[in-house]
Amino acid sequence: MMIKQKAGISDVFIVIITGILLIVTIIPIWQMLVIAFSSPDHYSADPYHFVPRGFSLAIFAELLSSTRILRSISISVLVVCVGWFGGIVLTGMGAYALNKLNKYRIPGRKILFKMIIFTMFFNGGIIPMFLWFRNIQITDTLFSLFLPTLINTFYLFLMKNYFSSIPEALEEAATIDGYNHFQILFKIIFPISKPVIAAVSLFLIVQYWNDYYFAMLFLNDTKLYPLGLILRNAVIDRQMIVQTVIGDQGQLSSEQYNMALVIVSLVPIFMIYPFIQKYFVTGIMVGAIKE
Amino acid sequence: MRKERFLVLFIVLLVALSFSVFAGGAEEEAAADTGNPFEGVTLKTFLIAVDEDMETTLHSLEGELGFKLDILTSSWDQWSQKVNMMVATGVDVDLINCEESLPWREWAQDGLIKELDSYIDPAKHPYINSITSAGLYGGFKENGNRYFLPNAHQGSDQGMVVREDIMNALGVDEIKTMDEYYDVMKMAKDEFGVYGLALSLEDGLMKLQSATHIFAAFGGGGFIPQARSFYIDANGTVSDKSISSGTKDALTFINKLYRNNLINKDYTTIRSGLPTTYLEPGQAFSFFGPPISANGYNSKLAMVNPEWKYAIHPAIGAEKEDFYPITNGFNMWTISFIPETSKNPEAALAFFEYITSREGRERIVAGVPGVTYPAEGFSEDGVYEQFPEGLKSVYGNETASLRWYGIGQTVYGYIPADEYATYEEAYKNKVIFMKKEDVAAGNPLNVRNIIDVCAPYSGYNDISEVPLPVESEVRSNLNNIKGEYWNKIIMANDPADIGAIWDTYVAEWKEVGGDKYVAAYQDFYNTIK
Amino acid sequence: MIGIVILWYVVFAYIPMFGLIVSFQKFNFSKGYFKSEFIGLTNFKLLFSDKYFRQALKNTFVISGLRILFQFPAPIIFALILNEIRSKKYRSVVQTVTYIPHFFSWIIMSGLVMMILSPDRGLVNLLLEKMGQPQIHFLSSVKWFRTVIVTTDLLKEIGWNSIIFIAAIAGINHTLYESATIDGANRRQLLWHVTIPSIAPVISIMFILYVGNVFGQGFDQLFNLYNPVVFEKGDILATYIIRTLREQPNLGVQAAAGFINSLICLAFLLFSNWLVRRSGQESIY
Repeated sequence: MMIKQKAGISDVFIVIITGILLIVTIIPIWQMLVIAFSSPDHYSADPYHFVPRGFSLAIFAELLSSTRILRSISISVLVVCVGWFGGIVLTGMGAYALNKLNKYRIPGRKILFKMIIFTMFFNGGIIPMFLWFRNIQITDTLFSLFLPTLINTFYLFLMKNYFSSIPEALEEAATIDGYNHFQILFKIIFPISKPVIAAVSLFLIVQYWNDYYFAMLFLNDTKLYPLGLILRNAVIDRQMIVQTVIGDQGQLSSEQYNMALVIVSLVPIFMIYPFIQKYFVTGIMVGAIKE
Repeated sequence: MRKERFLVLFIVLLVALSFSVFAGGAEEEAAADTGNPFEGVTLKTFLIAVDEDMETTLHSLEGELGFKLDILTSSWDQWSQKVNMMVATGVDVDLINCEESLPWREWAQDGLIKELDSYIDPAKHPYINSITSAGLYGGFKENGNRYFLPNAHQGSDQGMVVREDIMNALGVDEIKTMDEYYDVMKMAKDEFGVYGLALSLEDGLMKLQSATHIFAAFGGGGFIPQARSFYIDANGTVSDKSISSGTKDALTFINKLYRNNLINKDYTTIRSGLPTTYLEPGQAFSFFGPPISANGYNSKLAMVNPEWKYAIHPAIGAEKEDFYPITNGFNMWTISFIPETSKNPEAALAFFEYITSREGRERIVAGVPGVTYPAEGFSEDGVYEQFPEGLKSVYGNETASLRWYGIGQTVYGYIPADEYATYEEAYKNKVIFMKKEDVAAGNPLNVRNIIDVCAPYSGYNDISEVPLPVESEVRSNLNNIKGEYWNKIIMANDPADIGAIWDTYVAEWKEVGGDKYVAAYQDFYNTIK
Repeated sequence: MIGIVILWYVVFAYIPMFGLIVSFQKFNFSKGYFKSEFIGLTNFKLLFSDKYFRQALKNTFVISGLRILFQFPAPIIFALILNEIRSKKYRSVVQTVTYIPHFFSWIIMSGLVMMILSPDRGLVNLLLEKMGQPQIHFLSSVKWFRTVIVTTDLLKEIGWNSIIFIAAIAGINHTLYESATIDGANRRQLLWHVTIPSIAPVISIMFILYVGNVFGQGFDQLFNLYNPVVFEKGDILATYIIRTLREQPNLGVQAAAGFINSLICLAFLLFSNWLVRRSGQESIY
């Protein structure tokens, strides 16, 4: 805001509201950290877990020595990579192609648009999806985790709008130089679309990393469980991952275990976040405003 | 050449992906000439809630079985949905373990599960043959054919557990009545700041499991969604404990505990069988559940205070007339069947036979070789002391019950089907395992002790094991009504409201089919008595 | 190039829709789509006769309505407030912190929510106790459950959803503000007469998108937070379907429920699109 005004009541109001929001957001996260990083005996002694005592990495050590957890982490990483890569490539292709259709006024493009948008709001539901996947034999495989959501229509249009703001001159020059469509897309357009690609990448990565729904529906083989599903079973169903036989559960506390799992599942996201942050606001901005 | 690089990378990833997915799949090679009839077979089996250790345990059996295992599982709350979808969509699995309340009869009629008569061989499958030839199993045949193999718990291995140190500190020896229980809980709260009872509301298997002893003492029942809680009085009239006055009393009592802060009030959000968040740090005085778990909690309690300890407590009011043993050994609870799409029915039966045999049961109960018992394997007399006198003395005259042994490691023994002519005889002479180190150390929380003390909670009557067709129509609605109203009563602010809520509950219960339900069972009872 | 994309849409979006035919059948997988018995609207009738289905339907409408009423305006207001913050540093701190909950999946969030709202150990009730008020069992209370649902979702997404509006506000031409100030407008008038009308197009598009999506949302949150006590207020169609899958051998019934769910989503999208077009703003169709 360029206008200079005197500080007034509304400022106090603003600070209070935003302050409350901040506190409400931070406190649970703090508690979570306290629980996960406490040593087991201090955890047992304190019901409120507000003030940290006795820092220890015992729970994490236990967690990361479980083969099931490690395997699920690697599965999640795999799914994220494939889903992200495939998603960016296919969405980019789609965005580029849709723009070209627009430009050359290919007949039938309006109908195609409408049909694509239609899928954003209407789908068959889980039973038809399950039956279809059963028919093409991808249930209980990793394919069912990323194929159904490979292209997200919203991101498609986000990219499309962003691409349409790229000066035509660039593409024309490339065509003259003898580039075909694929080369134009990947060598010219992608490099200057960093903001929107960063934004969509972040969305995709978060989505695939956190997903448990498809895993819950389609997977029966524990070797294929992604981290999201293990997390769900632990936190919601309170199913302990390591449950030793007949009664002797050792030193693990289930709540600590769950919180530690939660933190493990948050780490990658927060690792990527700072790198992407600069880009995604611009990306959304340009992509969306042009609508 | 970035495009090419991308494409190559993508393809490599896809290939890697497919490897990881398909590499572990079932291989069906032609049987080599090694004399092993199951050479090259991988048995795909669906068992519920298999954790890492159980999985390792099961895989360690592959040597004895002669074939490999591919274990599929799901979380408890998704169990029935998964099985339903698997059968309805013809998934290629060899053996499925599911709740008895699922529509297995419909599946049998639709040809979705294999009939077993042509596969069961008395010589190869003594146990399977024995239990499926038992008298009461006759009621479970469809078209005169056998379609499933029953699993269950042995009697009750759940009981009331209290904090021994608090009992000692308060100078209480044994709690005899519910009023006494309330008083002790109040004292415990005042002096030690602990909840009297730790409660959870498990969404699925046993709602309010942790309050079983209260229901039993008041003669109430009906809170286990998959169990039947019918009561047959001296005149042969069948009634359902879900709407009995005993249940109302039990709920009123729990409400009193709730209003006086003697129960953890967030119990509705705790979906596991036991609220470990309160039990582990010793924030509760008592709970009802598997005392064998108390072994685990004790080690965590010791971290807070080495004097604290859980101990098992005899059933309150077990001698009184209105005590209603609820757990019924979970009736049949779970069954195993072979879907029609299975390619290895013989292997499936061999698997089931092995894990119910003496050797198999001991291996499963013992756990992971090298972790829970010495890696060299069992000595000649095993890791366990067998309790051979059978449990006649403990369970009285329970003879014709269908409480058969199952797959999980919570079943601590086996039925010597190959030593007796009929199943009923063998059942009377169940063998229980008891860890030798428990015997040596004199640990009071050993299996034998637990079964002894928990026996009163294990009841049975002639109709409690039989699923009639009416059940599949009304059961889920009845359970929903219970879930809604029982918790309303427990959380009522003013005890005077309870009467009205109860009446509404009974009316709705009857309306959604409760009367029809009871009538059907009454008719059935009339035909068999 | 467009070919691959179209192929994906056909395979993964349109063909599954074809499976909706199952809603009209007594489905038997071994017989397949074409040979299973066609029973017309029987599945639907069965659904509507189930009290719990009707309840779930009603809850879907009510909760979605509440979301539209409260969760849609909140990010807008938040963006407007943020715009008024003078200190750049404070503003970016608030923004960064409020973005964080968006990245938590509802599994994590529900663990946190259950912890905070717990009757005896949670901070909210601790506060109530200090103020002398009786405890409130938010997650088991039929009275409070919907409030909790809407509020927690609001807090979770408020930061993230405001990005679009912040961007829109930042794109407003400054000369508008200048000329308005010269004409003597104070802060509130600037807000009302310059800022809001300028971002009206963005608001209307987001409104359409929001209404179109809101009916299909909420599954994650409710599935992880609800319990049998609050089914009558918190069970929505999506959770009803998942829950009732356990005892229904005829998948047609579930498919029918899913079909109804999707139809409602579509109806509301078209409706909001029409509404926005009526009021003169841009629309999608």
